[in-house]
Amino acid sequence: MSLHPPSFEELAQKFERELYLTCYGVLGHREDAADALQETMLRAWRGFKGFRGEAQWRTWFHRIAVNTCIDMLRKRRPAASLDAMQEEGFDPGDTRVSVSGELEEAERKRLLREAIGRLDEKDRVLIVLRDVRGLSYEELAKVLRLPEGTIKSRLSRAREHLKKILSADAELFGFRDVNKSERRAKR
Amino acid sequence: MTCTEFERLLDQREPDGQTKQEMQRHADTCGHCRLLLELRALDQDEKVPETASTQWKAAVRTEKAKTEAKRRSGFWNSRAMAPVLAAAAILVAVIALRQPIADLGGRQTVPLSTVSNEEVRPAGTEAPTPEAARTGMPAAAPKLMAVATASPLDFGPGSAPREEAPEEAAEADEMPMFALGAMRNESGADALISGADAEYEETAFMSACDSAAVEDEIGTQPFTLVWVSETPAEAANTLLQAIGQPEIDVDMEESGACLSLAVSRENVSAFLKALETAGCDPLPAETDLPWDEEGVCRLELMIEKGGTDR
Repeated sequence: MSLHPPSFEELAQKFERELYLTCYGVLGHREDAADALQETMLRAWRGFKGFRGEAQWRTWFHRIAVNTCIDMLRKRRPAASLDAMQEEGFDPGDTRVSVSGELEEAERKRLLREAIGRLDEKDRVLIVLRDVRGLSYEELAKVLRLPEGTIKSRLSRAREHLKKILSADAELFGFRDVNKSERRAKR
Repeated sequence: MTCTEFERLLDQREPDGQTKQEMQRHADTCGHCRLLLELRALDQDEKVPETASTQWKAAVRTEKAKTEAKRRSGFWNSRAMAPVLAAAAILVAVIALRQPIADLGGRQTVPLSTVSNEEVRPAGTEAPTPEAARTGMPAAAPKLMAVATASPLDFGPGSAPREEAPEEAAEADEMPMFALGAMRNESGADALISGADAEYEETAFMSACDSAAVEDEIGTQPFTLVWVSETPAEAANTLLQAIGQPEIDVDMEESGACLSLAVSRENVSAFLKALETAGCDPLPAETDLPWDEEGVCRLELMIEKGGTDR
């Protein structure tokens, strides 16, 4: 047990990777994640005060990061989303490569990130914080200031939304389609 | 293994080899759990780019330096320092001119700008006075002495002590807390909930208010409330109860906090009533709050320990 409260720099360094990955998960772009990390750290420093337990610092930092990312998402022009672009005729094409297991794994990750990026901001935050970053339900409840029961039910819905998006790539992700005839029609 | 067990094991730091195998066997037959496994492994190989790390550290350093500079200038501009600065400025002027106090009486004040060219001899064209010879002062010294006899307000720009400062500072000290909050509102807080007549020390906490409302765009920055309270946990819980949120930990008594609140249309009236009871000033109207498309308003509540509650 340390005999003095940690400095801001010590804590920020400790949580740097977690926060960066949370921002990357929510925003989907490394450059945006770097900007969000900077803004998160600035906001955190400005509000840094006093001593809290270790667990409280983690949720406190994450709360700031989530709010920062939500602010950035809301600033983004709607046309930047993949759905909006596709509505305007953009076809991302089929870039799947299944030559080797490694490439397929990389492709799966890419598609997962893309699918997460197509979720609305609330679903996205839940999936990133719980399923990607591994925050506990208790921590999530503190970060999002929602009861655990609400978190669980919303997370369940978010996962269903994610599966629905991923079902378009059923060969890779193996979910049963919600509507098989739609999938046949796309081909 | 059930899916619930699988998710519980996923949260374990380092499951043993056998557990990992069981989890893999389950994931091979369950698409849902395989997805959870893949999501958890998504960031495995990701690192923080060096530039991202450098970027935030530089930004925090700059912010620290700005805060420190502001704190120092606040000290120098404080009520206590103004008379000291004024006395120091006068002393410097007197020492520089080396004019005995007795000789100052009866001289006419001549603002520097009204001295005509004919009255000023080019430097070096007149015999140096004994004092000038001793001190090395240029021949223009007599003109400066005339100015020096004037009241401090006649000094040239940039050299006058700020006689306005003591009055401004006195005004600030005499202001009740709400008015002081109104001054701060210009730099950041949207509203202030506070105990009155409190001695308040500017801290990094307040600089958070400066930055919290940088952007005016509704919905981009949450509406910021600042609450100075002797019992910050109690203050926060009053508002949280009003919006049906669970209470916060009592250890916030020690340090204060920044809370993010989400208020819905259903509970905004109760929330505003709680703010009004607490003495929020100015009390925001429902239409002032940044509502999103789902009828939720996000607010930042900054609670600082201090002051005297009503």
